[in-house]
Amino acid sequence: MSDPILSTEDLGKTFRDFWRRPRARAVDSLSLSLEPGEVYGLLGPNGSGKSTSIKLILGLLHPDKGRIRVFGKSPRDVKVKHRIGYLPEESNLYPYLDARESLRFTAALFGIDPEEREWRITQLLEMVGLSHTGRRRIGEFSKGMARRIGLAQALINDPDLVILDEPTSGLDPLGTRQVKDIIRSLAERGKTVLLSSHLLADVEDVCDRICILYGGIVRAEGPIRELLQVANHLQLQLEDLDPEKRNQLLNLLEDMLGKRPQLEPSRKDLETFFLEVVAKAREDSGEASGTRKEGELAEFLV
Amino acid sequence: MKRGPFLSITRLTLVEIPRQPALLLLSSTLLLLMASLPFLITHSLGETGKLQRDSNLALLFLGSLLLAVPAACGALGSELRKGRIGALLSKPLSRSSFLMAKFLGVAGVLLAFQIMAIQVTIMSDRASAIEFGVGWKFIVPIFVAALLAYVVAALLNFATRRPFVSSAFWLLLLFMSCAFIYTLFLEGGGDGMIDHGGHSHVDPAGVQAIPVRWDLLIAGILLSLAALMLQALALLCALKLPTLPALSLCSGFFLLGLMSDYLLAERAEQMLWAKVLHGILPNWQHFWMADALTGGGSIPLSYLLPATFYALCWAGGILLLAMAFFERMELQA
Ligand SMILES: Nc1ncnc2c1ncn2[C@@H]1O[C@H](COP(=O)(O)OP(=O)(O)OP(=O)(O)O)[C@@H](O)[C@H]1O
Ligand SMILES: [Mg+2]
Repeated sequence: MSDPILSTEDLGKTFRDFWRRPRARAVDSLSLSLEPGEVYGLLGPNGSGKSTSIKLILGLLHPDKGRIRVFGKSPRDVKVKHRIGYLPEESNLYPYLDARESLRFTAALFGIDPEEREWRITQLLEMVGLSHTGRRRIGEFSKGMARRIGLAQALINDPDLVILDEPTSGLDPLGTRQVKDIIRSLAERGKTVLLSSHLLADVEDVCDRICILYGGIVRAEGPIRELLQVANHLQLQLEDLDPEKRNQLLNLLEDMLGKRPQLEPSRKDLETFFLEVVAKAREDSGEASGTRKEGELAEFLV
Repeated sequence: MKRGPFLSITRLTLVEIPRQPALLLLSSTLLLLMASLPFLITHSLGETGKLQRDSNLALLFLGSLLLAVPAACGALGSELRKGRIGALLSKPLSRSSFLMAKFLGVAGVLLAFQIMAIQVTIMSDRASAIEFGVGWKFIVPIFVAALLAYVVAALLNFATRRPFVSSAFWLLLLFMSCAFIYTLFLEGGGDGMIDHGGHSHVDPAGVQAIPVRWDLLIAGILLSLAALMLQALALLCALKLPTLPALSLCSGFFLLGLMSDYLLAERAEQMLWAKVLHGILPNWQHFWMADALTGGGSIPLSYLLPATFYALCWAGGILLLAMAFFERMELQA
């Protein structure tokens, strides 16, 4: 078995006031271990300690107890940070820089050389769908746009571990879908993703494993498939069944089981429906959807 | 060009600090006040030149204090906000180099002010060196430079959307330096003089060359070194405090440094605590050379070295303290 990319053991953090009196216990005995290529979700209601855990993992806060290892090193180690990409809960970037300048600045923090840098920036802007913003300043961006640029910043160093604090907050359904696709593609490329969210649908779609926090304590943990299985309940999916065959099937099942099973038409979920409508609207308004690379993983990340 | 994280942060700080309108307003006001002193003081009796020089140098020092605090708070306060510092420090950038980069940024902006202040001091000193009048031609360029900086910055903002405030600040430095260099080529006070009635006339006594007092440059450098200590202190304060409390704290230190000899010098000979305190507190007396300049005295260059050493040690000590503190600080990511 390979070494975990990220592991925490019995991590604890209590916020204290000026006199060192405990004020809020944000995280308590958190033990995680992330394998390469895995998408791990931190789930929990507001104030359950998701962001605090992430800040501990990044070395921005100091734990009261426990141990953190990122790539086998302490999170305070500057070298480790070359391999991490982080999207904060609120991205509060320099408001007067435009998208490209802002990414340039981030690239400079990683010491990426200019030629490589420009190439990456172009791809990232396409990926997050911001290549058309030109000289507009980030301060003028909408919340979702700021989020997208934050995601691009988090990926500019081609990180092996991507930490995303509520990546889809503020994004429209289309953006949400794109971000989810990006996360999945990252994982397919062998990158490890740790994300926090309280949007359950998002977590369900992208995560391999999740843990549910409440009051800073892990209440459930495991592969999402196992956690969501309902015992003794099976689903059967059929397409294009004509009424006659349908009746035959129901009779057959009734004979076999002794009771008549329930039959319902499948529904598409609202997300799929919404995306279909938007895609159609886009086509109608003449935006060729074939040419855009939005939502596709940038080439350098491959 | 490939830029390391350190230089990127410094560069961004140099652009960011002068974005604060307060900084531009304060520095322009101070500079113009310094430039106007020859008019304001000419009527007083006695040593006009000395009063004028002393006031200008004092304004340079006090101005550095007044600018250093908002500059440091602006440089750090906005960065320590949620969503910014976390994004920055999750990059390969150690906390101490982040802080050092910020300090360099603050020092750079302050240096710009100090350069301008020294230039204005020298120019207005020459203006007031003329007996019975004011050397207009040494003063007018200062006002022209300020006006030009504002106008060009406004035009730039209109044409290229460059931020007005920070371009005005850096243009002020540029034009003030041009004005200074221009006045270096001027000699006498003759043709540019007015008498107190406001009429221009040629005074035979004013035709003699008015020398540039370069020792004012050295006096200015010494005060800038002293200000470096205040800048380090301002940065330390800015880690935790908003602008106003930081300003009060730094001003308190400033006053203590002014009075340190008066309060402690005598006692230091008998009591250990006074001696220690006297040693630790910054002592501005070491940097105040204005008195040496009266009566044609000058500052020996050899004095600069120990003063530089003193200031750098003191500022370095405070910076180390700030780094140690910042290293352990919890960040609101
Ligand atoms: N700087 C702080 N000082 C004191 N308490 C804090 C601080 N930051 C967080 N807390 C407390 O720690 C707990 C966990 O906060 P955290 O931000 O980690 O929650 P979260 O799970 O990210 O919530 P959300 O979904 O709202 O983002 C909360 O009770 C919060 O009040
Ligand atoms: Mg949170």
